[in-house]
Amino acid sequence: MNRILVDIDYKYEDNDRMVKMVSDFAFKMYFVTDVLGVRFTGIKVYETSKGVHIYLDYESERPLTPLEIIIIQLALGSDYKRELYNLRRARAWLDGEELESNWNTLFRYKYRNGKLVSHETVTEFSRFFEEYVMNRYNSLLKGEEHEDSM
Amino acid sequence: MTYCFYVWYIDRKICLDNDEMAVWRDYSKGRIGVAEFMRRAMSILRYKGVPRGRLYSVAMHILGLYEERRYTARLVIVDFDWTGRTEYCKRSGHHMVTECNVTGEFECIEDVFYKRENEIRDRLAESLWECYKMFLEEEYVFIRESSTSEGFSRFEITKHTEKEGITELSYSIHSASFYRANECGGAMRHLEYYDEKLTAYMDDAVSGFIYWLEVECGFHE
Repeated sequence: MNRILVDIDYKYEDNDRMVKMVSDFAFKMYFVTDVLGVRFTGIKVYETSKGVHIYLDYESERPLTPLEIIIIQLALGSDYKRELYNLRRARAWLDGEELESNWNTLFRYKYRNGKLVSHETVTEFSRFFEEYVMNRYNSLLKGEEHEDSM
Repeated sequence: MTYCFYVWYIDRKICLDNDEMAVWRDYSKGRIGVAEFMRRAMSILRYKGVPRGRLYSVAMHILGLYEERRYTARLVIVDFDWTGRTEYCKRSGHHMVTECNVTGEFECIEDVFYKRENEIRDRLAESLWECYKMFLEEEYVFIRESSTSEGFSRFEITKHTEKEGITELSYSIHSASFYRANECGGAMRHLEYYDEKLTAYMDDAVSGFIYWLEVECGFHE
């Protein structure tokens, strides 16, 4: 399955900022589609202790390379540390080595020294995020909403 | 754990939870006398709808099946992918970044898993992490880590099944891979020659975890 994984370490402070964050994310997806031709077909969002984990299904005429995936994830606002770790994994691939299937991953349950520090949860916010983002993304694609409204 | 017994002559499957099963177990091990056993067993069976006149014989029939381990238990198979990462980049010449990925599966009694999923997952995480640290120390001259991250990218039930006469839980490690970068900006390379050794360590970790799980499921009295 083709998937883009985004780890956003940000907690909204009020409703306005939450809507802006979600709205911006949909526009970033649209921009990726517009510029690179990568079309997003599905979304799954989970809340974590620091922010959200976003799993995006996509279709692309040509397969994306690991570097392209990392850049798209960064463009969508993913945690820079995570993407730099991904880049470090991908460097071996750049040197001609095979890349493991799990090089790009999100922890559903994250631990520190064996103690649980964060886990993915479905919440009201994560459901809202999924619905709002896909609606806005699709209406941007159909041209129902003008880019200048951003 | 739920124990299910098929009593052919009333054509019924009777399922007993761990507390109910303790009545038969205690009698079987001589901890309670026959009078107390019959009183408590018949009360449980009456509650489960066994007809009058059959209570005594069904209690004894279940005792026989239990002692011959002819009961079925509902199990779940849980698949997991676990990653552990350590990093030390403070002093030049001592750079060290490591990562390990472990995939595997284990069995668990269904109702125990549903009741205690978080505790079971945390326990497995702790076992894998402790074992990974041990692997680094013993095989690799471990340098104090400045940054670590660990977690499950997958921990989910993939199958429900039933087994007869279960006395232990099975598990398997599907793969264990070790990666290392000798410089902080360097590529993470898969060091295949460590995989076998890492697999042995992780097998020990899961084996210890499974023993704990078996105790929690009511085995090993």
